[in-house]
Amino acid sequence: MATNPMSPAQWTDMVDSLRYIVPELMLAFGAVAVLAIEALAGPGTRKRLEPLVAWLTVFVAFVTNILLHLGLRAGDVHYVAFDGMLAIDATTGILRAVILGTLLIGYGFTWKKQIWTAVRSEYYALSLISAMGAIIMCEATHLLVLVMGLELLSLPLYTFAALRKDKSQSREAALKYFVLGSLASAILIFGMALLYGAVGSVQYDQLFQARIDRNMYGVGAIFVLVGLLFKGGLLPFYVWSPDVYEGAPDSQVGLMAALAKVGAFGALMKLAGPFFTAMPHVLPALLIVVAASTMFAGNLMALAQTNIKRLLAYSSVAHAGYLLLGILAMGSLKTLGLAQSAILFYMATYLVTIVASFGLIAWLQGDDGKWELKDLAGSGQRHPTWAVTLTILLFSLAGIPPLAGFFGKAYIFHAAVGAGYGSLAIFGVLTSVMSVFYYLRVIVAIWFEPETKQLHLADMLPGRLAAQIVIAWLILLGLFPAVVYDPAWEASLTNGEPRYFPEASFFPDAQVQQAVDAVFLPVVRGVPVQLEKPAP
Amino acid sequence: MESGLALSIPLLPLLGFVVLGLFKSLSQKAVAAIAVGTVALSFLCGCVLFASHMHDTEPVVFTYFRWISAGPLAIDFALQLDQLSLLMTLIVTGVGCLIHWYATAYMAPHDTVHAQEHAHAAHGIAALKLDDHGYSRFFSYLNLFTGLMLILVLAANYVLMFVGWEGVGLASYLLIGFYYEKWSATQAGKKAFLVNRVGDFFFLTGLMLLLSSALGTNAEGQITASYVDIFARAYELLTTANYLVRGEMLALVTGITLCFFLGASGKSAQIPLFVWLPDAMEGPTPVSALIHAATMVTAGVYLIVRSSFLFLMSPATMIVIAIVAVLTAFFAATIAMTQYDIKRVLAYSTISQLGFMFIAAGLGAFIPAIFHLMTHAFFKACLFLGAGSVIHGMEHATGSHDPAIVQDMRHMGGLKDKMPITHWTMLVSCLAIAGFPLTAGFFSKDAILHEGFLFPFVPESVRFVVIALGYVTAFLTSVYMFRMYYLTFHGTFRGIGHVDAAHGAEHHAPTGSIESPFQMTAPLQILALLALVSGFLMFAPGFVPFEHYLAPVVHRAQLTALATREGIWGSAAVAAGGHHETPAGTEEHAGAGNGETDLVASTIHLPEATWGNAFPFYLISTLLAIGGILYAKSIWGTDPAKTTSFKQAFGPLYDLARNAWGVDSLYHAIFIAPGMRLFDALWKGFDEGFIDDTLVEGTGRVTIAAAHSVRGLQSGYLRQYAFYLVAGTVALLIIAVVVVIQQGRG
Amino acid sequence: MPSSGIAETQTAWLSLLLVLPLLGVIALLFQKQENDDQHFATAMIISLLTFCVSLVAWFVHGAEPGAGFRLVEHYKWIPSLGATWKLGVDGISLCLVMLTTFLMPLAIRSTRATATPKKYREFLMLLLGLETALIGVFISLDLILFYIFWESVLIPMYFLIGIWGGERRINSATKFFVYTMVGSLLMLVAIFALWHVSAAKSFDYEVLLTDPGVASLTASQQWWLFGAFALAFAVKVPIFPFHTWLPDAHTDAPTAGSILLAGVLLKMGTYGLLRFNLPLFPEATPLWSPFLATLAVIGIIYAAWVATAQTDIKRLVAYSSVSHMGFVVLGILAVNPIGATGATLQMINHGITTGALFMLVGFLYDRRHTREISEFRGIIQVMPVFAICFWITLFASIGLPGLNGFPGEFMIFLGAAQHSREWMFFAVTGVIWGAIYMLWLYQRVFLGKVDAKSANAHLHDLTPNERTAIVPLLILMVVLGLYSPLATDRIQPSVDRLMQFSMLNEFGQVPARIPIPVEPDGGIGTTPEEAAATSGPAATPATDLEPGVDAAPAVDEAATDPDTPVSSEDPATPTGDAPATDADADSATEPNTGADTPATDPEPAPAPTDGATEEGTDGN
Repeated sequence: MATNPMSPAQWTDMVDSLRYIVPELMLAFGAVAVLAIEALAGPGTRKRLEPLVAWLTVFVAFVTNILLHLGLRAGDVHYVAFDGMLAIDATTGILRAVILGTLLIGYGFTWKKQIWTAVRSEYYALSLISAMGAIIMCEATHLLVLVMGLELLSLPLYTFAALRKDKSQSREAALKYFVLGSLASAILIFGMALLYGAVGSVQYDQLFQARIDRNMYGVGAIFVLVGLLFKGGLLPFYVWSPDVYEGAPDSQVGLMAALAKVGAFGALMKLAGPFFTAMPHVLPALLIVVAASTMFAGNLMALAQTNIKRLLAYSSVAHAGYLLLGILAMGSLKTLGLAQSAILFYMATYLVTIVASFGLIAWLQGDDGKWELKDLAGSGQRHPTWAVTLTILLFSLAGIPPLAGFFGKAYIFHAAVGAGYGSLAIFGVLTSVMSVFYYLRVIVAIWFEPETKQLHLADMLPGRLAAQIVIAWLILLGLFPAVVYDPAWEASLTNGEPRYFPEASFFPDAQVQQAVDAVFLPVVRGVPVQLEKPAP
Repeated sequence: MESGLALSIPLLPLLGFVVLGLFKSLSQKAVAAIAVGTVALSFLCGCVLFASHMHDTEPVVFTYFRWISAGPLAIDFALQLDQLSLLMTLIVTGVGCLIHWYATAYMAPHDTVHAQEHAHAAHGIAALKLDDHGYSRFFSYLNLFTGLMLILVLAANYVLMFVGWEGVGLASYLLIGFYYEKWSATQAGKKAFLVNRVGDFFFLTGLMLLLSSALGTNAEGQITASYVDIFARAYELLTTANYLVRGEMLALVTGITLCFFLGASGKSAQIPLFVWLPDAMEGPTPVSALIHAATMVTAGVYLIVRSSFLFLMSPATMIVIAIVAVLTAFFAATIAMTQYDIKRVLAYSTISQLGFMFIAAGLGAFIPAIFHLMTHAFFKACLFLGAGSVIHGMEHATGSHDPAIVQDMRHMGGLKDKMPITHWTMLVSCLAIAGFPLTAGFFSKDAILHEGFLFPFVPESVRFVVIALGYVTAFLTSVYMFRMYYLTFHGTFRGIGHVDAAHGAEHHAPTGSIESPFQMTAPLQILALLALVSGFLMFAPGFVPFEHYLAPVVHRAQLTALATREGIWGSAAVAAGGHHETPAGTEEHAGAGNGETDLVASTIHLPEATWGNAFPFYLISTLLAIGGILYAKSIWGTDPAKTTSFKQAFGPLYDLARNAWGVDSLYHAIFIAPGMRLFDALWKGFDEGFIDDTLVEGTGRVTIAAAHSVRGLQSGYLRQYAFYLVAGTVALLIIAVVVVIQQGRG
Repeated sequence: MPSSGIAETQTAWLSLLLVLPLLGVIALLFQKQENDDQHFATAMIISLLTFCVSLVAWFVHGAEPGAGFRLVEHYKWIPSLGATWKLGVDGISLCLVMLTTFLMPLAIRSTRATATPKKYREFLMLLLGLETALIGVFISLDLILFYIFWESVLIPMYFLIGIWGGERRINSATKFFVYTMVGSLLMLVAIFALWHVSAAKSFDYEVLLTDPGVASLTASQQWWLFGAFALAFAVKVPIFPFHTWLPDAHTDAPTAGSILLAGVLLKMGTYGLLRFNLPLFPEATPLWSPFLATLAVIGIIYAAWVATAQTDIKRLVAYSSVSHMGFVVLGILAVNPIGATGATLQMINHGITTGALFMLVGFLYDRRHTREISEFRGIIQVMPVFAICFWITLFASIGLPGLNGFPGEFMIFLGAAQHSREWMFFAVTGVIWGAIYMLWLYQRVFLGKVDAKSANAHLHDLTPNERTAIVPLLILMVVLGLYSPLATDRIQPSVDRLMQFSMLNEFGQVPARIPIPVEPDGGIGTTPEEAAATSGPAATPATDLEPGVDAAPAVDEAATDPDTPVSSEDPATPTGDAPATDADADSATEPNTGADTPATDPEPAPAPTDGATEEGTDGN
């Protein structure tokens, strides 16, 4: 913790260390600038200026981040501000790049979207701020900062949901989101308090063991976990997402989903270390249950959907389940690196994909958010380019090679298998077969079915550019995943000294196997089971 | 040089097949020339080789290229020349050549298209494209058959033999179904192929058993499937292998040979697979003469004689063969007794005669089997061609083209003077098949019964029963053959009106000769001549006697078998290993240049057929033949009215025999009808119903149903969501507690 | 040559094979629609070029003697995972590549025969994309790469069925996609498990073959991995209970789609079984083969029976190919050179024959727009040439000697017989069932009187286009039937080499591998360092040769040596292991002849001993 009064040397160190969070600062200034323009400039200039400023801000921040990342040497961690309440290392660098990149793509899709002209400025300001919040969540090394980041992320998202003032559905969604969100935050903060009681500090590197009271630590940790799981939209805390996604304006949903997820899982990646160490047996159990049920329920519910946005909402729940499987795999020392890089890769592919898919839905002219599958029938004939793009996105979400989505899932399962969660991985792939089924339903509607009603597209050049960039990105990563995966691998090698407990041992694969051997092998080979290889 | 000659024997007809098949616009003369020419040429090649290899003691094998190879498997495309294969070559090409010649006239378009004429009349298709070339099509098939049959007999290993084996089945399928517009013809073709296929299944199984066993691998550890290797291996194992191994091998050989026999019974129409041959008469008559009398159906006999080494190793199989064969011969004869379709009579008599050959094979008298095969080829081909000539005449006489009319002996009669040449040729071959003294059939059939009785390969009792029933069958043979003869050629011409005028064409007696053209009668006379004199080959004045001629092929096997039976292996006789003069002349050819066999020869002798022990057999068969003829004359000689009395005399038995003892309907009831029901049930019920609908798509349906059922949880009420939130938290806490407690315990 | 480090530089024929069709796709993309002739010409030229390239590959491969992988291309791809861009062909895969590149132009040709499909440009683009994926499956030597191509095959096929298919196309397409995906994903998990097990932490097929970590898997662990792989392949083949997607997919697929589906896609499954399951999990093979072989035999008989009951020609042919693939699977599971060679040959033959059958059925469908058998009669009178083509193909497919069906079938029977007479017996009955449904079909469709009033009376015979599409196949049927060594000469050495890794010797071990003792849990999750630590010393006791990667080329030369007899276990075999798994050994290499003495063992253990000794010599 910080000691006062602060000596000039420390002060200069702190100021000096600020340079590692320049991108965040840029976002903050950008937000302020947009609001200023809204206040000062005339209507015409606003229209043109605000998107430009916002976009430029993000772009510059993105570039700066890249430069910073390149500046980082493997293995060094920079603690920033107040005895390092933020830690910037290669991992966070990548996460930051992902967030900013997603924001850029998202702007491409929402460029001069006409429906909510009135609230343009809010939109840009809020999105900049919530992106900053997401980044801070990924960088936080102190629960207080985490909470701050969380709120910075969430409040704008609540308003996002409400941006379509004319729609009662939108307001309802916003209200639900807000109430539940606050509930979750409350739980999280309560958990933080408990942790403080249990440890005497909420600095991450103090959380590796419960100094004062183990049980209190456990409860606190679980509450914090709940808060993050809520943001990540995992079972059973995802309940808000379908309604909110359906109610919120199409063009926003993508960003909402993306930012919330990246923030939550970025924080989880950082917290995994201390929590796994302190609760070597409890945490895997919890995560296994949550991950398995989320993967299953998300895909199962999606099967029943006819509304596209709800379908995508549930599918994003399922994807959160896969991500959590990655977090789970971080619990084993030997797959720590694999799991972290897998999660990073997943973020890099999944976020843009989800943003782009919602963005493409948003192109459809007509009643916002009410798109049923049957409405898409025959769109493949009328809007081939749009249809092809959406198809590729869906295949990527389904994890069909040679698209990035495949490697996203593949790396996660690879890590999970390595961590000893083979059965869970098999369960995961089976659920992803379910997902294939409902993605195919969309594709069937687009391509195989005769047109029922004529669709019109709000054709926007930036949107098209964004879409093409995303497609190119997905195919590039589908063919050469190393482009992202190897940096991610380097990055994940750098952080986290081996402070984690040795083995994840919830699903006793060995025992399961021996049990099945005992049953099957005699049947199969007709001779006594010969489990071990005789030594030469 | 010689290898080229050997190769050209099967290749020439195949070449003819390709030419006729590809160039469809050849003139009739050209077609005839190519068809007959190719076969005649390969006949000449055959003669040359035959002459040059007459005195060989070891088979000559020409290897052309490696045909199938994988791992130890090394199957060559190789031809084997020995007395057996060359004799078969001569029969196939010689008789084949004559029949080709005959067919050039018989199949001439004005006759062939009759099957289609109705079709043309029936509907307005301008020209049936294929049938403009029906003529060349026919001969291309015929050449295809000849070529494949030659591959069958010349092949040097079982696999290549199987090529010919299946190939001739294919050719017969094509030729039976030649009039593809007649549904019955297509049915008959299919039936023939499928029944043959069942036989082929057993052949293949036996082959696999053989090749996958120790017998199949030759000294170099290769699987060549060649006769030479396999017999050498078998001999080696018999002589060297220890008692247990030999026992196992003999057991296996029984399985193999039984499979081979079933395969042979498919090709050669023996019980239980004879049902296809009568239906095969749907094909044009020359086809029946060539394929279903002279050559293809004898392939089974050839297979057994070729594998005599294996068959002799298993007495059990020999017994089975002998008994099945004699039953086939007997029942076929009884059936032939009751048929009215002239070609069906001949078909059943063919089955019966094949039965005789199998009797010989089963009793170990392989040489008589081949001898009878040859003579039978002559007189049965002559009979079929004669029948064809009669049908030809009947078509002129009645003006009808319906086989049901022109082949029905009840419409014939008194053709003696109308068709003199046909008449005497058929008379001769009837005498021959009936075993009238000094005709070919007399000698060959007698040789079978006689030597079969002498040879000790199956127990005395079995031999006795078989021979006795054989003689009964011989009597029946002469009866039904002369029944056919008298019904056809004697009495008065009955024509159509006699049975029923329903067929439309009114009855008119033929005026003047309706004898067939020269191209048809010439082959008839040649064959008749052969049927008359070929029997004397048995003594072969100025020629190698048949016995000695074929000896190199089978004697070694026979002697080895006897030696095995007497268990002399390892005894002093072999151990001594001295080479001394062999007593009987027969063994001179038996594997000379082969130490062991000579030793065997020195200690083991086959009983010799002499005039002395032959005389009683000659006497019996003479009496039976003549008796049969007289009996037939007494009933059918003058008026066919007596047939009814004959029918009544036997009552239900007669009707049973008339329907071929109900075997066909039995098979249909047991296999075909239930089979189709089963297949349909499997498809609709099990495949689509259970596997696809219930299991595969059922899984999907259940999942989606589950999905819809849980939709209700997402009610949209805020309070409910809040509850989920809290409940979830609590759940996590509970799980945590459980885990902690567990850890605390363990 | 194989697995000797990264980036061997030579002419990248194989990459060219992959890229060419994609170029075609792009070329088509930039053409304007509805210009069918142009599209057709482009696709035709591209596919022919691809075929030529594969021909070049064929001859280049032939130039080098030996059994191992040729034309190997090996580049960095995902270094952090040890996944490399590794392509290469041996005799087996080369034959299948040739099959693909040979069928593709004909399939394209057949699309322009009578009726051109709508949206022709997209149709061709998908076909070419499919070609790339298919070739990739056969030539990739890295498991991840293999898996990517394996899955990519689904996408174009899915659209081919879904957009250009028959009435129930959506159902069929979805079933095809989802069903085949279930198995594949389990295989993916198994692949990852393999990576974690391997000491080298690599996806490289040839590295894994000789990897001590993989070699040290216990039988039961191998049993699991084998199962995961086998499921994927079984669905693709398809083996009996997993076959129901096939008839639907075929009935609804467009002709060209059916040709490739039956001609090539099904071979992916059997190829995978032969390439991965047998050599990677040799000790699991005897555990699984009773199950799988029984299923295969059931499939042979059952599918033929069901085919007999069919009323739709295309469905009938589809079921017949289920039955025929049963033969192939059986040949593979016999785990001996004869069976495997026969199986590979039969893959080629079945590709040719069934491809031709579907093409012909397509021609008929274009004319009558129905496939109901009862709709046809006496077609031979109006379409004689067509009838003759069909007739040849039919007899090829029921394995008539002299046509291509026979040699493969024969080898498979013999291989099966060497393994188990019961398999052989039931499998051989297939020759009867096949003849039944095929001849009955031919009789009902082609023979008899054609009814002047029916539409059949006015069908036109094959057009020149159609003849050019079908005749090459017919020629190949005859050629391969008369001279099968054309293919087997290439297949055989590679199969022998594969068998060295697949066949257990009488001590229940795989001589081509080096037994390495590691901790019982099969070293799951041994870090590279640990694995190296264990493998290093452990390698020495077995034989004095280097563990792992370096063994591969040595084994290679052993197999390539033409004189090496596939026989003669010599006393010097490294037989470190206690004969604990004797049972497996027997069931795997039991020669099945009651009468075999040591002197006369028809099917002795393979050559690895020589391989091993040579390894020893050039290991040091």
